[in-house]
Amino acid sequence: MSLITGMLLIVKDLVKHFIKGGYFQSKIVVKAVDGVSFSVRKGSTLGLVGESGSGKTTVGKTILRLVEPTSGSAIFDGVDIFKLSKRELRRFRKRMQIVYQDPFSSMNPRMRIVDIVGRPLMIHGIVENKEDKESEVARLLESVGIDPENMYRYPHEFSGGQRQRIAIARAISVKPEFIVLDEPTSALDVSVQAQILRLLKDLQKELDLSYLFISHDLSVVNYMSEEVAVMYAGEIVELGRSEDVFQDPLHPYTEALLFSVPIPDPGKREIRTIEGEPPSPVSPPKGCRFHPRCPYAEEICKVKEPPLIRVKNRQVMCWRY
Amino acid sequence: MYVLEVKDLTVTYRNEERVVRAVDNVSLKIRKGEVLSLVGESGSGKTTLGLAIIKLLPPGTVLKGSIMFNGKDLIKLSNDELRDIRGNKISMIFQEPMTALNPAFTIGYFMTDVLSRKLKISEKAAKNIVIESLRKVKIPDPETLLKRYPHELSGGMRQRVLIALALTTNPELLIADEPTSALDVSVQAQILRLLKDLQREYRTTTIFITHNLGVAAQISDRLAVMYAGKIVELGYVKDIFRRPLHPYTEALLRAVPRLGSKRVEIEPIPGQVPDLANPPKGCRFHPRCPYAEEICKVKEPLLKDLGDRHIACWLR
Amino acid sequence: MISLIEELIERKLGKSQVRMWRRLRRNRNIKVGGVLVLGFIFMGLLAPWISPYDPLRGKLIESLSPPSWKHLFGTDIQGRDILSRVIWGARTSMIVAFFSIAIAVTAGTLAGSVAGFLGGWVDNVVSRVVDIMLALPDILLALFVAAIIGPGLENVILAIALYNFPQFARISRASVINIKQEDYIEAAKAIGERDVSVLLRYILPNSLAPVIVHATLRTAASILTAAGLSFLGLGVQPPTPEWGAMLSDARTYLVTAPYVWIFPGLALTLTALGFNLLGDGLNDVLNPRIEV
Repeated sequence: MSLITGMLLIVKDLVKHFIKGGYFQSKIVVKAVDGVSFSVRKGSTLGLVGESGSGKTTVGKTILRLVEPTSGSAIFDGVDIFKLSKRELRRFRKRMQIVYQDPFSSMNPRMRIVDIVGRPLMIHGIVENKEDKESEVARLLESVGIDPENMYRYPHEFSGGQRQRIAIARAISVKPEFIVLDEPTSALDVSVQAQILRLLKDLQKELDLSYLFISHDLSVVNYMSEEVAVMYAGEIVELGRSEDVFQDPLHPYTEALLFSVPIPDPGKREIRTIEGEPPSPVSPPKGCRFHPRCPYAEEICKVKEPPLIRVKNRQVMCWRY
Repeated sequence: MYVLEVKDLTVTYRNEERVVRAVDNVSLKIRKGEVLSLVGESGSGKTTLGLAIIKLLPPGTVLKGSIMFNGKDLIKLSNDELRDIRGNKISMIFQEPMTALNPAFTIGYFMTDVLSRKLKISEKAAKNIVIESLRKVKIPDPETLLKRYPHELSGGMRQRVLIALALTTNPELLIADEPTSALDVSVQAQILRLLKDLQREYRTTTIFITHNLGVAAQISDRLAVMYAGKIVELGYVKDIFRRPLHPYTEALLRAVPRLGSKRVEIEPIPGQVPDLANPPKGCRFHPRCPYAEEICKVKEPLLKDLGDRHIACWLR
Repeated sequence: MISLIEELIERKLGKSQVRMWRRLRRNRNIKVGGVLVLGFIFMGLLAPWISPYDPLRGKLIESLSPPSWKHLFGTDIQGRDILSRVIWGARTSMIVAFFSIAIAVTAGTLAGSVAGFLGGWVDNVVSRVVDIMLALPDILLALFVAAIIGPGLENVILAIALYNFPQFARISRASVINIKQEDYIEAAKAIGERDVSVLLRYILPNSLAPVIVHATLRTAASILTAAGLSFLGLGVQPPTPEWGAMLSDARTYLVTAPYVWIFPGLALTLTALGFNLLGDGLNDVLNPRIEV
């Protein structure tokens, strides 16, 4: 670990381009992530906010090398994950895990819960025999609020919230240091979401976990994260502490996003809208990618991409500063 | 005065030998020009209620009670009479704009075809109405849009088209089932703003179904909170948010994270939404209610009329 | 009896498998098809014990005698009891069906799954080979094989297996490619599963449903193909009893002694029908669709 800064994960210039098109078609480059840098402090949560096409999910998956990055580096506790061989990577897997958005498709429908949570234990040698596996799985299930008696059931016998708890149990089974949470509550009801968020927070404290919390829901990100990165069209446009970013947004997109969220309070603040839709990652606009929708856009915005600069203890990608 | 009067509506269906009561003895009245939101989580019955009104429930569903629309009970109408009302006097917007449009036809063909047959007018007349409708939903160049195919449009555009389609017949009642849930936040804001503007201008009576309290707060005049197939609280939006009376409404508001200056701790509601085939006895919320008393476990509270507010609870 | 089976399933496999069993039981196609299939399988298995006469020996005096109490289905031109030959014919048909489809399914699923899983050039090569094989019609392929290596039971099995192999390769490949996109496959990678493990524990169990259904339907087809080959003289050789061969033998006296072809023909029809119904029923249960 970088003792100087306490950073568990340092990502630099992460790029992921998908190339679509086969032998007989012209190749299309989908620039899902186009140069992203951030770091996650040990024991804390970095929120990653964005809409569809922002690249936030791809960032999460490339860090775990579930999707191979095109370029860049991800230094985890001093080791560049992107440079690991397949064998070394497999061993590294127990230090970082992921929880998916859809609790219905993230678990093998033909595997019992005891195996879904138990396989990681067996793979990484944490348990060696059936009895140990069962007792450890029982302990894990209890810690996420699932009755261990149901170990032998199949995923479809549980509700969405329960499945997500099981997915969390699977993720923490190997005692990881870092978990990518990819919209973990977006598919859940409000009341269940609250339960899962609390569970995640409790586990974080208990197990000293670091999270990358990916979501499109700003209020949830605000609740969960100490720091937040706002993504737009494959780039981070603003990065800083959540109080700062959400109370005093610097980037026009952050501002627009904040004012688009309908608050459960009929009196306050009418929603304000911005024109247009998020751009396609195949051909993002020239210059600043947000300029077609930006109320403050000027000439330079249409031509040159702004650099990421430090303003008020934050990083912003905008010509206004 | 009242465009729609639902009385003691119960909707049941079978699911592998179990009988599920998706909507249980629900009554409400909707005034002309108002927006009533049905708010609830999954299993609350809000979508089933919306579909029941427009009679789009799958075969095998049993409806009891009455749905009075323009003096006629929709439950008792024949299929032919219903076809005249559905898509015409009562219109619906659905959640998934990506899949609601037939990919094989241009927007123009689809909309004019449907409209000319619904209103029994010529294609040319239909086309004019369609263009007018598309303008109403702030689509910049309607004529060009008519020649496009659905896959060429973004989610937000498609939803605008679907809203325009719903409005072409000048419906007396519009049912919107989570129209913004599948859209990005910024697009959702645009569509909400559009719906609000349309509401302000044309005063279309609307039933707005959503699970998002923020959306409900922005768009509704009145709000019906649903839980496990029943309405537990009903009243004006401002009143309910300022002072929620039913424990479920209160719990719901406390469970939602807010964007605020202080990081307010959210309070999860313990337990789960009940199994609708086997709901708890008495008040359906009692297993999760912090104030539950003996009577709550035994007798089901009815919706009490407290003037502008209706609430189904023994304790308020 | 049924409840005993249910209890066994529940104890060994769990509650959800019981539900699956119940769903299988309720389906009418499975019930009827299942009865027919099981009937013929048992007929084939128990042939040595339930067959009233030796199917290969006949008394020429009794040649072409119509159905009677002595010979329930009558006798053929050589005086052999038709009922016995039908019963033993079931054995032949079941052997052909089972082995040919088993080989085709095993080899085809292996090839298709590996191709679908690995992608890249492996997939390309396998797919092109499969495509070429798919272009050949079954009878032609079987005739070709018979021409090269001669007729006979084993060669019939080989020919039919060869013809069916590309079909299963294609189905399992498509199924695997479909499953590969699911989140839980990526999740398996995330917890550190090796590729082989992912294929065996995660992909295969979920991709077998279409293969099972197709296997049942192809069994029916293979029985008919074998009968056809035997009819042409290229399949099972006389004097081995085989329904198709029996049909061929009856060609000369179609009208005069209809019992010679009616019973083997009926047996063929019912067997094929049974497998088809079973396959349809399995399809309904394994690939549930929402009723409109």
